[in-house]
Amino acid sequence: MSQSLNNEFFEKESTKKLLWRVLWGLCIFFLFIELFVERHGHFGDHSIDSYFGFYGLLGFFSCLICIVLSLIIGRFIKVKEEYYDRDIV
Amino acid sequence: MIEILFKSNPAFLFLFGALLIPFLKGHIKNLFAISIPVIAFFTVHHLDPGTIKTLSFLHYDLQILRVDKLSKVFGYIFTISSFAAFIYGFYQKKSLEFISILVYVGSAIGVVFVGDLFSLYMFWELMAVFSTFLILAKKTTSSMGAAKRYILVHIAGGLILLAGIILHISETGSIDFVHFTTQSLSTYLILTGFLINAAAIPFSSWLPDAYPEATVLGGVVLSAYTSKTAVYTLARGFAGWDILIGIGCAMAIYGVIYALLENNMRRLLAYSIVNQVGFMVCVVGIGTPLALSGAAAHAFCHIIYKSLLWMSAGSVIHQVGKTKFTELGGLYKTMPLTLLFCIIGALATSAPLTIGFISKTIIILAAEYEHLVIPWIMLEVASAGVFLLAGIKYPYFVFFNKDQGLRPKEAPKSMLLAMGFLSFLCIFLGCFPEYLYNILPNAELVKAKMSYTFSDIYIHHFSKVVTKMQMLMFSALVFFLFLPLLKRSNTISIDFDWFYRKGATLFYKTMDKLLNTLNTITTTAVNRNLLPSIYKIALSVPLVMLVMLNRVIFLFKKSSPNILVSEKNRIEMHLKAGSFPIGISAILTLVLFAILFIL
Repeated sequence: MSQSLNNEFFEKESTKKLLWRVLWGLCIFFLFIELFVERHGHFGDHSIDSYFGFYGLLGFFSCLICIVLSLIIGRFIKVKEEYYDRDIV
Repeated sequence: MIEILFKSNPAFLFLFGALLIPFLKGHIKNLFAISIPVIAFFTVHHLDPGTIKTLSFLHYDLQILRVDKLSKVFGYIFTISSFAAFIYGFYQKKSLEFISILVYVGSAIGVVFVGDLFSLYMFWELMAVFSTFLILAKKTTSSMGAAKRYILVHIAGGLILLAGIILHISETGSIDFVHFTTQSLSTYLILTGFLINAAAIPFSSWLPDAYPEATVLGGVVLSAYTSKTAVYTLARGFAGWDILIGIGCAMAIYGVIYALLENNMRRLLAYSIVNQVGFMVCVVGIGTPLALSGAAAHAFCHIIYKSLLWMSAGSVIHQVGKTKFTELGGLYKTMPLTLLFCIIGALATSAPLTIGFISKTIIILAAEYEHLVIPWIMLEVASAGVFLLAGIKYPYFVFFNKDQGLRPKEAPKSMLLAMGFLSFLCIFLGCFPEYLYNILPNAELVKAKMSYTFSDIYIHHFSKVVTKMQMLMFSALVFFLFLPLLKRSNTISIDFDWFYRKGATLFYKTMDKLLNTLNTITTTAVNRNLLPSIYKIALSVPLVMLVMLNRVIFLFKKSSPNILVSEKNRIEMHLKAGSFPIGISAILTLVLFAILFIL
């Protein structure tokens, strides 16, 4: 019984809440820690990638753009699983 | 014999092993299969860069062995990954899969170690043929279809390559496989042949179409070789061709978008192969010495972590028998070790302390040095994207998400052992990349530009770790914030294979309509119109002639018109029935002969 209770760990609301906090915490932690490390832009000292939080934003927006793009494209190219079933090749 | 096996192309070891497999039984067969990559690994290790062995064939000298550092990197990783695959496949008893894998891996190693285009082509085709058996071995209707499309695409690719090779030989007179400098029809054909195997856009769809239909072990093996040998050949022949930068970036983004739409876990992993091969193709296009080392390093690392991910997916299929995200979920409860290895493989796509971190850094650096800002951004985007899907989406939907009530047992020990071995490599080489950098081409250059000790990477250059972690954490944040939008449905996505799958059906239907309509028209014209009219002519011409002849005779006899009519009816009746008295027929024949004689 205790085994099965332990196994439900990830379905508890409290765990989910905790994990959300950990995720937000990590994001903020790594942004915060950037204040203390010396960093240079890859394409010259004042290139855009030298600004604070550039990589966090890059990660956030690149994933967001990919998701949005996939949703838009998905509207046109998603078909039922049986779509090819009657084809000859 | 020993000369050929141990001092020549390591491919022959695998081919020889494949010959012996059918005579072995039980676990001896498995152990024998495992021993071959081990022996091959040491054979590769003892090959000195610069060695060339030739074999006379027709009027050419075939370089059946050419060793340099680039080929050795691929030799190492191919033997390591096949070693892990055979451990993973310890449960497998069927000779067919073993033979196919040995010949397939052997010919991939063959491609890497030959120095001329003839031998390359031979091994190239062997690879295509024997990899098909790994898909066929699943023996389902869908795998048969996928195998058919797979082999058709590869035959087409092989023929394009062959055409290019023949043109190239007739232009230059040389069969050596070296860097191509001229841009002509022949080199473009060869490039296309290579790109088809690299699953480059727009020839990319065969990979996600075929690999997910392979057997559990087959999928693990297939994920490593075909596209990576193509990367090797591109690095050898087409380094610095600008067109590859664009193709590579497009592949990287395309892989992410399609993988996000995917509902089948092995198809998701297949699309992420396309994405990662995109990185390699792009960096081959950059073409500087550092870039080529980056391509080799990334191929090496990618094979390790992608094999690991395919193994974890294979374990799930082996235990549960399901592949769709909509049918999976909650497996962390009963398959914790598989989950652990899966997460290591997932993190190894780019997280610090793993191999993805150290190999992608070279690629990004190579783009930076050439001031290629747009490819740099696209690769960064794709790198965040691949973490989103292979790193988070795949483990999340399989092991967490909604519990589907599946309670399979943990994967067999051999599978766990193989995954453990690859996980160890993921972390070990991620922490101590010097071992990897030492075997790369231009090792000194790489070590001059990159930090390679643990303290240098993770302490002195801590800023890179911070920025990478920012990127990964925010990617994860996006995933969980937008999770409702990523809900899976039972759908598939139309890919480039639409053109030949629907195209073939369309062609078939068009031909069906066209040819059958032609058939009907011809039938109507000939059967209904032409033949009856011939019959009528055949009947009426003799009748008219006979009646006229009759009339002439009766004119001399001066008979009455009534007799004339009745005689006409009688002739007509005889004609229709074909029943002239023999005497008359004989006379008519004589008359005919006489006419012929006179004429």
